[in-house]
Amino acid sequence: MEVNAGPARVMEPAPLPSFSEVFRDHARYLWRALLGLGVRPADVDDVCQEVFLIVHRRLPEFDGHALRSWLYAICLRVASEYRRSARVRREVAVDQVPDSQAPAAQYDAVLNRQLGDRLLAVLDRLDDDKRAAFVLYEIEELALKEVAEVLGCPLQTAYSRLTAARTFVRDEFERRPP
Amino acid sequence: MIKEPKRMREEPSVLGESVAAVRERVPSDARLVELAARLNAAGAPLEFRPVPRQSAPAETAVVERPAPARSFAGKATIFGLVALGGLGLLAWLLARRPAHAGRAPEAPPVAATSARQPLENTTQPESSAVAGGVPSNSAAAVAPVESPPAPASVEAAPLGSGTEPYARSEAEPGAVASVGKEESLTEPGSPARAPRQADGRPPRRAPSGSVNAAAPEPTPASALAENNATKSELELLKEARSALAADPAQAFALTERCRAQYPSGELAQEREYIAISALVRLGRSSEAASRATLFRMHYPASAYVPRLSRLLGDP
Repeated sequence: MEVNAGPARVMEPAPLPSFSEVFRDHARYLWRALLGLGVRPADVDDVCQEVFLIVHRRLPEFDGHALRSWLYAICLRVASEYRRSARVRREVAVDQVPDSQAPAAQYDAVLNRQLGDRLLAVLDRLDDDKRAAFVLYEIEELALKEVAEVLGCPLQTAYSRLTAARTFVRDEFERRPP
Repeated sequence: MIKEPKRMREEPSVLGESVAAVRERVPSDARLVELAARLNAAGAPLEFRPVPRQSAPAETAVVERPAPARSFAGKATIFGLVALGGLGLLAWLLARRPAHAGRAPEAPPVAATSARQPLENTTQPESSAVAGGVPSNSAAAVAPVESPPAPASVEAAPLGSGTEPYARSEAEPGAVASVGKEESLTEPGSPARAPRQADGRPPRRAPSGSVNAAAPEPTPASALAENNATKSELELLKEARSALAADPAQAFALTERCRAQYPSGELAQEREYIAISALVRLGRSSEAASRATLFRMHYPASAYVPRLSRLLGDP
């Protein structure tokens, strides 16, 4: 799944950033993407470290085109390997929505967390390709063209996967209210 | 040509909120610093210093809170100057008793003080009196100093910990909206509101108390809030624990105040236990049960868990 190959090669490549710059500009988002791609919160730091070790190793070979897509593609591969090896199940705590009479400031944060957990739990039931399309487009808010680049597939395929993922997630939210 | 679908985050639905909630889950700067250190140790050398914008939510909150105070203090300055000019002109026009001209400079501080007091309703009256002798814009400089360091991102901590990895980034559009949402969701007049006023942030009513409005005298309530604002987490909880038997409402209010002042306090478990105990004594068993559920969720291994079960009469 080499994302460097593609029709956008005709574009002028950006100057190659340093490893520190890549980390500074992208680490927090790659970390979040890993979370969306099924890496357990307790493991995200380790997996993110693995991603950046690969980035560090391969950065000299990088052609300077579509850095973000290149990074997310690495993320995708590492997360995929992690899921294959870890077999982790995410715990869902959707039935513990606090009483509305409770002080709002505290419970709002917890509710926010539960909302996020609920979505991540639904994503756990998606297959890898659809999940990746959903995470890249909806969570990371990449353009559809970038999603296709990261997934290494035609734009139409990326669109189809995204549509299927969105439909699934929407149905799950409607079918299983908290 | 494929048209990109509208992002779910923009939908006014639970699903949209869920997507936004996941988007907020970015690691804290501290976590990234740690990650950078690990990479350095693993043979991938890099330099990483969190840039200011990455911790912007906290900084923004700290900076923004005094801003209205500055604004009002600025208005007070203008009003004071206008009053000074007006009185000076009046005194000059009358020109009968030169002593009036000498009295004129006393007016602006009074006006400025009047304008400032609604903004600093929890500051010490003594300091206001002292500040009354100086130009009102100096009060704006003082206001931030009196604010306790309570970053907004910390306020979002549910039970005092555990949300650090999800610190918000300025780069996240949802983050700003979320902060606003938290504020709007906080019930007006709830115990959590008082410390926000105590931290130098103008109360919601402040704008209606216009610059030339009569300054409200510091009330016992504001004095109490001020008093509590200076207390440590431990002191507040000691007081809450002492009040638990005789006055559970007061005990609960103190824990709420403590939570607002020290959202990431080290005694969060103790605080929650006292709060739940107070709710039980107040007969608010539904709320007590909800909070106990949250407590168990956040501190499953806490020594308080069995005590909570006994307290709530769980089997």
